[in-house]
Amino acid sequence: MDCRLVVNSLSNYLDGSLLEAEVRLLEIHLAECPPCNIVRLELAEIRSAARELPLHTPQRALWKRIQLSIEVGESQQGKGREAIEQPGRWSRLMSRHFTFTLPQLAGAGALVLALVGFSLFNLSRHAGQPLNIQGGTGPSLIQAKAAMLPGEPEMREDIERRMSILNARKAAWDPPMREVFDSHLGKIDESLNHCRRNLLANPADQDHQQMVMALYEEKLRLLEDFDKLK
Amino acid sequence: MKITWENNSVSPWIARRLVLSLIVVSGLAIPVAAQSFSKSFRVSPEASDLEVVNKMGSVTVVAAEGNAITITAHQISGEARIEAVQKSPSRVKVEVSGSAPVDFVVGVPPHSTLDLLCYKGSITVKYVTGQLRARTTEGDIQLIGIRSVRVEARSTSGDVSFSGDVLPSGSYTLKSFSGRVEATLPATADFKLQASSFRGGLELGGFQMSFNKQTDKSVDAVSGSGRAAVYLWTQEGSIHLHRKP
Repeated sequence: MDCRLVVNSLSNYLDGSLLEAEVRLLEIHLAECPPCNIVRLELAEIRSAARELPLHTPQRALWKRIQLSIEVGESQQGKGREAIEQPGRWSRLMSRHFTFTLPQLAGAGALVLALVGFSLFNLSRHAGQPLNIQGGTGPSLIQAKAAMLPGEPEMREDIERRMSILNARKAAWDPPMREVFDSHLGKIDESLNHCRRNLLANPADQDHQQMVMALYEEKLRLLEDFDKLK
Repeated sequence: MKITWENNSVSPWIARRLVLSLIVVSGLAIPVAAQSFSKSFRVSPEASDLEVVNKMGSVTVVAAEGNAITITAHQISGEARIEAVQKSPSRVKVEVSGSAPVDFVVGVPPHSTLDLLCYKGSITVKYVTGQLRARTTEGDIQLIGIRSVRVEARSTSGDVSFSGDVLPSGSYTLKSFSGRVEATLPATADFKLQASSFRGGLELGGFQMSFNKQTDKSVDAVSGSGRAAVYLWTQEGSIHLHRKP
């Protein structure tokens, strides 16, 4: 059973509205999948806490006040308009009265929490897997992060740190020095992006893996060298 | 400027030539105003250490018998400040500030450790036996007759070439982002080779090597028992490995 399906069914499961066969399948999955089980426990905890809260319904006077303030706001906006517009869908929606009980609000909160938890779980589960791009519109940010090579994040961090130091100093450099630096850094970056794109399309390509790391090193050395020049 | 003449003075043709010659001579006078710098430091012949941080201009270092590091610098134009300091009895540092090109010729004891850097200019090192590090952004690096246990040469857009011995447990790294990388090693050299060229191709000469990995872009191989490590890398250029005749 798919994790997404399990998490979506958890609310019904806790309400006891699932069929017996569905419950069995879900419980088998929960026994084998700790992340989904954690989501279930959290959801159950929130629901039981919400049940213990006292029921507060807003007084009728509060709704009157809200309605009045909306009407005042609308009439101010409407001044100067040549024709009176028909109330739109939004204003009709705004004029309606909604009453939520705290358990309902808690339930909505729980659903949001469950979705966030599930997204985080999926992120962490896919982080170590090799990237597989087949068709589609191109690699996403998550895919790009997942395809990072060992040691690449550290290397990038080091480069960014050195780059920010050099950027602060660059204004004082002679124009020829700045030109040489920018031009060579640009060429390395161009190559790096090219190799990175190839590597995203074919993550197992060892030559491109090697090239990407060598280019990062080249970039780092260039920054180190210019950092040494007075 | 208006040039006039009278009938009994020089002809207009001669006058014009004189003025033209003056202009040419004054133009040529600029390089004549170039500055030279010379300094010598007494160091131990067994353990000396030289660091040169140049900006523009060439650096040539040649091994010479004796116990001195002799620096000669030639500044062709502009304003540059050369600072040469003996940091310790065995260590000398030369640094250039300002924006003018300076060409250096330095004599060092053969065992000297060298650390050479410039961003626009070539680097040449001849016959040294100490550890060697040379980096330039725009310019070629030529290492000739080297017998060192550790060599690192890196140019971003220039060619890098090495000829010399490969010592057991030595490490030899030659890199260029867009230039040609060339190493000429003895036929009996005992080394493991890692060579990568993304675009320019690899030419590995006549060494008898066993290959652990070989693609059109990179090679991982061993010659002999692989006691030294040779690492050749270029992104855009080509790699050439030659056997010393």
